[in-house]
Amino acid sequence: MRISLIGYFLKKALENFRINPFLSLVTLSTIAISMLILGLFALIYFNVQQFLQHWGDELQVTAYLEEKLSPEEVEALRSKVADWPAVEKVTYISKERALARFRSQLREYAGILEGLRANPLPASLEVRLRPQVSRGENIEEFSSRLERQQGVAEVQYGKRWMAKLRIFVDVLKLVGITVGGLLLLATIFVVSNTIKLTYHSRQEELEIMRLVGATDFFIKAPFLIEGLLHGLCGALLATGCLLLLVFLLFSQLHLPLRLAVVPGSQPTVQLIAGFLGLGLLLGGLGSALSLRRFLRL
Amino acid sequence: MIQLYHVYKAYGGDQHALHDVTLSADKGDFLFVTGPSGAGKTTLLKLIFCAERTTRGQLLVDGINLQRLKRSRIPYLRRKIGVVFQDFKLLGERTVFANVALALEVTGRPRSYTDKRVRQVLRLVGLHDKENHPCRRLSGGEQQRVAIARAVVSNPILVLADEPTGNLDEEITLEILELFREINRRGTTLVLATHNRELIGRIPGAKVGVLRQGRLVALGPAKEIMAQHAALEVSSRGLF
Repeated sequence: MRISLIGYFLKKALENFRINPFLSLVTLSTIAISMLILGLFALIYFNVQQFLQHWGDELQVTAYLEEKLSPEEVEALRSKVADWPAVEKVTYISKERALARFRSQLREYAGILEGLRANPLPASLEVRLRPQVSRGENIEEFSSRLERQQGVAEVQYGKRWMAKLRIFVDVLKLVGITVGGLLLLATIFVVSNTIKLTYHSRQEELEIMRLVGATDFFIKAPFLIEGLLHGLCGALLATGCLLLLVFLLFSQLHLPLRLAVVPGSQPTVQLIAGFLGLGLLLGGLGSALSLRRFLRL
Repeated sequence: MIQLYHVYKAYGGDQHALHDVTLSADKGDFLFVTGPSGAGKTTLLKLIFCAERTTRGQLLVDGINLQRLKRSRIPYLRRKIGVVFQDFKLLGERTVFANVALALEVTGRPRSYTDKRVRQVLRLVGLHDKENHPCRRLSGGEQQRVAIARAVVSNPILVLADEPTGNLDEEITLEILELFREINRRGTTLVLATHNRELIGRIPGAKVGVLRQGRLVALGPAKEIMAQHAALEVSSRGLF
């Protein structure tokens, strides 16, 4: 296709925008809002997912030791655990170190520890697992094995926490897909309806074009481009809003989460490209639907 | 150029809009299709530019059998045919230039060619000084000229005109007829549907087909047909 022809189609598509600017604005906003809602779901989902993964990577199993253990017994246990293939690193935290760490965590409230006559904190082994172990279900098996060792009083890891978060992510995914799917479907119909209305307002011209020898493609192309432009502009608007939101969250709230949408980062580029692609797809589908239903030439 | 062999056209029901019509026009011919309202003149033109399809019979335009012509090829046939409609079919809000240029734009012609060619044709129809006027502000005669300019701008081999002077006064009618004569003189085949016999008398070299209730009742040179009509008029019936 010649460049001049593409230019002609683009010009006609923009004319279609101008025929009913209010309608175009409503369509554009509908696309943008739908995609923004979908984007918010995706943003939360990706973040929690990433957080979960990150947290899983660094997951640590703490084995609290019995009081009566001698330093030799502790060392024997430490080196035994360190030899297990699933283990990356084992650190011994003595009672004193545990107290010192607790004191520093309390900062200005450290005074409440002054009245203590004895150190109530147990010594422990902090076991860091290899990533492939900590991510899977093996962690439960690992911790019960650790618990069975002589001298281990109790084993702790963020099991319940993680399970709850996993359920949350699953629910979020389900709700996101359902709500997002319905919104996108509605968006396709809105675009289709807009194209239908522009078609009706240009009916006379299209009729004349047909009489003087315009092909079906020539008549349909500007409407298809109009739909694609609606989709693209709506997606751009939604992406802009999302990026702004993420930027504000980052700079104002200092969120501890590792957000997936970080300007310049890999997931962002992919997400934006995917978003614009989705916008184009929505617009294209909407106008194709209209062209099929209403432009039977 | 145009050949009809036993062409029938029915719009549902038994009544035929055209009934067993056989006629032809050669390249460069000026053919009048005449007859009273409802005789089938418009239907005949519609069949030629494929706005309607024949019910039965063969219709060839420029060697193309229209019954076998695929729907997707119709636009390409229409680019060879210029049509002037009775109701002009112009876009009132658009300028004279834009209306004429439309016929070239749909063929994907480059802008530079379109600009040049449209101005050339507007000069031919005498509207070169009104190219930027919106069509709705023009008089009936001027609008008809725009319609003619649009019909000839793509250098068609055939021009069809359906009652092109139906709504115009006598003086303008003659001007428009002269314009058609000029187009025909340049080699374009012309088919003009009219119920106005005054027009026929003004183009002596023309060919005339007379339709009545969908049937072709007479076909021949304008002079002969006019003579037949005059003879029949004595018996107060007339040919058309």
